[in-house]
Amino acid sequence: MAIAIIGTGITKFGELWDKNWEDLVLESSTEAVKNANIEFEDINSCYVGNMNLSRFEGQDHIAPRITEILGINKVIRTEAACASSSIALKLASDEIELSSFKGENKIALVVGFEKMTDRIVGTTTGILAGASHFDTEIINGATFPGLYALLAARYLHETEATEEDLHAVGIKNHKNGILNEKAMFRKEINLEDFKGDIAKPLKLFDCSPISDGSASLVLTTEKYAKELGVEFVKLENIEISTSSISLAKRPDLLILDSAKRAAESAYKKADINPKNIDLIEVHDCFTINEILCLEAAGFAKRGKGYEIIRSLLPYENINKREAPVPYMVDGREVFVNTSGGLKAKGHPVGATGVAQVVEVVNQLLGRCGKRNVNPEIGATLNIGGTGGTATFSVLRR
Amino acid sequence: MTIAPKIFRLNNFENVGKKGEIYSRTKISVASNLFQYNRKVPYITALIKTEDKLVFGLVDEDNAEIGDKVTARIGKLGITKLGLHVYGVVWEFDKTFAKPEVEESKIKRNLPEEKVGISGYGVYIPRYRLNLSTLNKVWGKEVKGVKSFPGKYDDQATYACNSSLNALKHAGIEGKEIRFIQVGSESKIYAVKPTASIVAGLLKTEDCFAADIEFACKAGTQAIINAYNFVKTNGGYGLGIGADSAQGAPGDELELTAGDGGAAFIIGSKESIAVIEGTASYTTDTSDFWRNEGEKFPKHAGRYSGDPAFYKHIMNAAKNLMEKLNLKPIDFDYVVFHQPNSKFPRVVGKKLGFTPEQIEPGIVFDSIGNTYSANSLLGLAKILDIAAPYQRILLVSYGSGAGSDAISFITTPEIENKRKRIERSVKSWLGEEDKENLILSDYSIYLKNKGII
Repeated sequence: MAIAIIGTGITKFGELWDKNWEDLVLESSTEAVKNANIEFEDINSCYVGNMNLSRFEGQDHIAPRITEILGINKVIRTEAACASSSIALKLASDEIELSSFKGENKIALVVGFEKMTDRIVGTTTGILAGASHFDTEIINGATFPGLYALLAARYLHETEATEEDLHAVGIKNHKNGILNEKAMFRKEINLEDFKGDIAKPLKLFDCSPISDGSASLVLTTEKYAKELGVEFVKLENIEISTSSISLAKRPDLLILDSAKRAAESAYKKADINPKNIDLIEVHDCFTINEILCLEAAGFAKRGKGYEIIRSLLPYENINKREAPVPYMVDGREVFVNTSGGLKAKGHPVGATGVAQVVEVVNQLLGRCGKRNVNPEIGATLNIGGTGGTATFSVLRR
Repeated sequence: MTIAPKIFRLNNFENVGKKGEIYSRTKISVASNLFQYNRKVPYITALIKTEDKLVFGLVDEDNAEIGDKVTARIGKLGITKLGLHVYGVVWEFDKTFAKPEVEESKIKRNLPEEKVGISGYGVYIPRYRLNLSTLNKVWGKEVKGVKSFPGKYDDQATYACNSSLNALKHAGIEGKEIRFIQVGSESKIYAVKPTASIVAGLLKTEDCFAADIEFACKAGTQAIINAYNFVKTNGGYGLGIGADSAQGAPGDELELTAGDGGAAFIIGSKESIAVIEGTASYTTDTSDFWRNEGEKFPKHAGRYSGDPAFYKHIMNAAKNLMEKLNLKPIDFDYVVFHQPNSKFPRVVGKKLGFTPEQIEPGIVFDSIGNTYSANSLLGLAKILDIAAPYQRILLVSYGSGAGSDAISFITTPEIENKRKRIERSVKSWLGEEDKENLILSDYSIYLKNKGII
């Protein structure tokens, strides 16, 4: 029994200093409810993904505050670092699936949001570092750019990949972001812009930005969606897998094993394989991670993901092409991060999981204007931390 | 802001002493300021492949690359916003250093009946040396020479901890066998909370007396004498440490001499490498150097530190001990005096009737400056490195305020057996050997690492 996504909403991502987090949650949720053609009163439950409102904004106990804002009397908050809202989506889809078995017509709202820019960079970096292991990583000065830099350094050491291959991911995603009016950055970047180490070998433009934003989805059963007569996309499934929070305890540093398990499980349940996927939004929090995600999602073997990036060669020509720019995988076009990805669209960590699904749903429904690529099957791969949590979803028109 | 309660138990000494290979590394240029850790950017974090697992850690080498071999030691990782110091391991390049080389013994001294003495010793001196001539531009002083100062991950507690671990290795005992720890220092990292308990935590010894002790530059010998008396009464092992990140105000004369380092001595009644033959002390109310409560840097009385202070106390303590033991200067093979500068120890030795042959082997000042409580202890360690069995050593400390402790040691055949365990000579730590290991820096890096700027 498939779950139907009948509404999507997303705010502009960026440094939204004139808005507070409540404004953002209300804005994306109102948009989602509106295009689902329902009212807030019709919603049975609301799942909210957020990483760290308490340290960013001082607010704990988020759920009843959401009740105040949206008037929904059953709100549940989830946290899994940058995968927080994917967990919310999973719980919501489970509830809808259960209701379909019971013959109930339930509607759930899923919201993901983060307000990150009200803190100075060093503090935000510290809060985000909370998604790594406190006793071994944080006390030793770990930052997220630092942890992903360790992955990048090892990747570059073990494979033939170069720093330019990493940069090409950023250039492509910035190019795609130009067509997304909700994206934080809508400008081209070039190889020569990659300077200034954040954590060697990662340059500033290899890193996704600190951003504010909110994204919302409305879910119901496929049967009820048809009754409501609204356009919808089927959420075939969404799979969660966890691994060790510490990089040092991974079975293989260069394999996002949580993501690999989630993807394999999702493919199996949807009875598809990577060759069936036309479009995927992956977790390019750092450029190296788009490569690792492509490998985990089965588009390339371990240590070979950079060869997919090289389908964009010569990199000087990426910006001369028409956006969105696809990769060539085994002679087939695959669109990755048409939204601009975390890199260009922005990365309000709690919002990202839902925002990825919003992009894929809108692509499947043909609502993405100039950047629409008319996919049949889309997917999302959302990572929490350095791969401690991963979710993989499969969506179909 | 919320801070987890576990912040109160953050010292993480797992992996100390382990060897490994850098598996991946990055140089972090933008740091988190949440806990003020490692605020001295950039710094190197790495995944290190040890024998049994991959570990995450800091590397104290700016040019670390994948594949480099490293060894873990104790380092200060930073200070939390609560003001708590966080200790853990930092990894340094694996190196082989010069080992101690024994000098020919001329005369064999008779061993006393006393069995209590030094079971093992260890030192720790940071690699950084301030090139004193770089102060000329700032302060207009024509000075030359070098002195030690802290690396990025060093402070008084890391000197105490690392020297203690080296002493344990030399003594060949377990940390939990230590029943007494005293750290002599005038640069304690906390005004309230002992460094001795950090050492106890590192050694995993809980049935243990631990305290810090202060008496200007002589607190190190006090710690040894107290450990000696404890062992005589209670048996077991005691640990006496002298460790200082010596303070000198910018522009002050002390800034030209105040150095960094630590030395630790394990006192026991078994397998002593040098037994303690006797001790004597001398104390008067003399105000030649002092630091008021809450002040960062000490003040001093200039030339008054000479005759009425340093010379008077050292000579009286030395004479008291020699009288007590019925010994003359000729009965000693080596002698170590406190070394606040290059001249004083040499002059006081001559005044007491010692020869340069007895004095020179114990001089450490010229390589690292005056490391306050660690000063004369480092001199003693330097001599123990080269001493043959059945030799007599006189150690006389001096602490402003003022007092001196004199201790007479006689080495035993055990000194040769245990010397094999020493991986690095005191001369190497001082930089008299393995000079290429030193990092010669200018005044600006010194000011940063000392926490002055």
